[in-house]
Amino acid sequence: MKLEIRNMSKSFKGYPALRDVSVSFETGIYALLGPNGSGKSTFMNILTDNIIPDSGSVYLAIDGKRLSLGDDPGSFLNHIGYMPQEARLYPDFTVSEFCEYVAVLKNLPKAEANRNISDIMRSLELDDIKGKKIRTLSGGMKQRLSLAQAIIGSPDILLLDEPTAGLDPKQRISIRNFISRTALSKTVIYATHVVSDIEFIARDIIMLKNGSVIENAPLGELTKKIEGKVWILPCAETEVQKLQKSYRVTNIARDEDSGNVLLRVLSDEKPDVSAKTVAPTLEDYYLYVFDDIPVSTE
Amino acid sequence: MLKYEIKKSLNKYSLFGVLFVLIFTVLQVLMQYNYGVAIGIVDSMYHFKGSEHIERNKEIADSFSGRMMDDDFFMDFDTAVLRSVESDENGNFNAKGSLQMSSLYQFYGALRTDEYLSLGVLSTDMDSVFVDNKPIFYYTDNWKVMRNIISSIQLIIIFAGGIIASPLFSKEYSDGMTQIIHTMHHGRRKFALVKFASALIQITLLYVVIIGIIVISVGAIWGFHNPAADIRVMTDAAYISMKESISCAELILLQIFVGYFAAVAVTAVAALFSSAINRTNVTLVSCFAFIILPALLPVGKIDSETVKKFVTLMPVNSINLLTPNWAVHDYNTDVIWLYGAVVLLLTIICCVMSAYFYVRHKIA
Repeated sequence: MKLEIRNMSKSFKGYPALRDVSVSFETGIYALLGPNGSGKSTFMNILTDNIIPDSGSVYLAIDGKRLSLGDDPGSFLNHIGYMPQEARLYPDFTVSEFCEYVAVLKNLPKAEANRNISDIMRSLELDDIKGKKIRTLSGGMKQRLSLAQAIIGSPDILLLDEPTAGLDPKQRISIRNFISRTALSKTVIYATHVVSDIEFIARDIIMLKNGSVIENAPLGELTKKIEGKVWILPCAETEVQKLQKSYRVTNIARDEDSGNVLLRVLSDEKPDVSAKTVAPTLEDYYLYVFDDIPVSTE
Repeated sequence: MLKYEIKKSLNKYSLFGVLFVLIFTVLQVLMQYNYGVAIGIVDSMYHFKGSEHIERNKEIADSFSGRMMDDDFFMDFDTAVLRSVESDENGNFNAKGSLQMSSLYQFYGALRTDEYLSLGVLSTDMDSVFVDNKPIFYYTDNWKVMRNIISSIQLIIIFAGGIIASPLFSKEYSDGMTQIIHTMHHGRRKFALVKFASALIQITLLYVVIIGIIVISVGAIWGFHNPAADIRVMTDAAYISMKESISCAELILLQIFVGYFAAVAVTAVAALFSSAINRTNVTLVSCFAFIILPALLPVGKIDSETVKKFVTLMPVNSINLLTPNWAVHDYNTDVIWLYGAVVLLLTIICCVMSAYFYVRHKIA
């Protein structure tokens, strides 16, 4: 199975949301990483035929067939499960009614649907609330239900747009683990701006900036690019503000032994003789690329 | 899919809506029962109400049943009505000075005055119509009551059609559900079809229940007497001037048919607006404008017969098709078929177009 996007562009009122994006996906989890407004949702909505691109094409090679989204959206979309960033679902449906309805819409035979829904509910811990009306669910429960509807019918490609938005850490981990398990035989495109969500589960990281793909590589390759540029800088508490003005500080921690403050600094050069390099993480790279940590001016 | 689609519409707001229509229907029946002053042979605003009013009218009417409505009939009828009033109320009515003795008598009396003819409401010379083809008199208050209540409720049901169908697609759009549903196997054409079916079932159920309540309650109170009576017996100028006459039961059936198709057409129009507009409240306002605007047009002042006919065939006017105002213009069975064809075509076009808009709906 291979999903291929070629030269895709889309503008809204003259503002480019996607610029000549070409990327392909095979089995595994792909992180679509970028800040808000970078084009992630536009990308997802084009793949689900909810937005028509200005140019470009989308193909899916599967079971010896080559399906084009533009020519035959129905056949293409049969392979897609989509969890959008926001959907109100149906407030007067119960959780199980909603899942059954989705199964009917996905044309699943009843027996298969029951089995499938039952598995998903158990995995996403929706079992206990299956009789509850959707209007009464918390944000986290609704997110899990939204994820459940995408997975019903075991689609070959899962498009998840900010699936952990608004969840507490425990729920994030639970959903992340579920997605990892589910993705063993699927293509999962996971759009997020939360680096920790995908850091350990994505096979490739695709970074979008202002609608363009600026990176498309495995995690190791990306972090390698900033090896030697991430520093731990010990300092006194009184110096923190001054150092924040001079360097891009990505984290501030306290060293319990020495009582010093440990600044995690992104810098091309060694910020101080006492600074030591550490292994970069995806978050470091993200901040390095997007320059999201401004040097403090206070 | 259909049961889930219907479930989407069943919420507290829709239940309130149904309750409102039910209460309005029952109130209409009660109003006619207690204050049905303009209906009966003896208008008894001040002295007779409810069952007494019904019984009195029926008693007088029954004594004239089967008689041809010629000049002798009207004279005898007038005398009988006056006698009935005087003997029961010992002349108290006359003191009030506002009693309308007999709507039928008064009506035919008025028809013969120059003043009435000069109003130009009737296109036909009444006397000439009656010379060759005088109707046979029967008690028809029951059918008049039924016709009046059905007319007023049909307007409510037409608006209900708009309310039922306005959120059909708009709500899916605004809730962001279309984005998901469009990716599903049955999320496009079949989804749209099921939506139409759901709206059709809802408006049909509402219509059948409400009309059923009216027919049963009016039948229980006023009775189903004389269904074959000529509608010209009713005290409406338009019926008397009709080129073709039908029976009271046929009138009611046709009225039910016309109102139902009007409600279905409005439902289809609302579905079309809904498929093209992202916000339910905007859809609803557009739909109501569609219903109301043609009624605000000065149909009487329009010269073009075609335009006039078109405007009068709009759903809000269609419920007047079989009531006097409409019939005065141009009632005949051809109009009914024309109406049916126009409404059916409108419904089909709206459904096809809304399916088209829904299937091609994009968020940008």
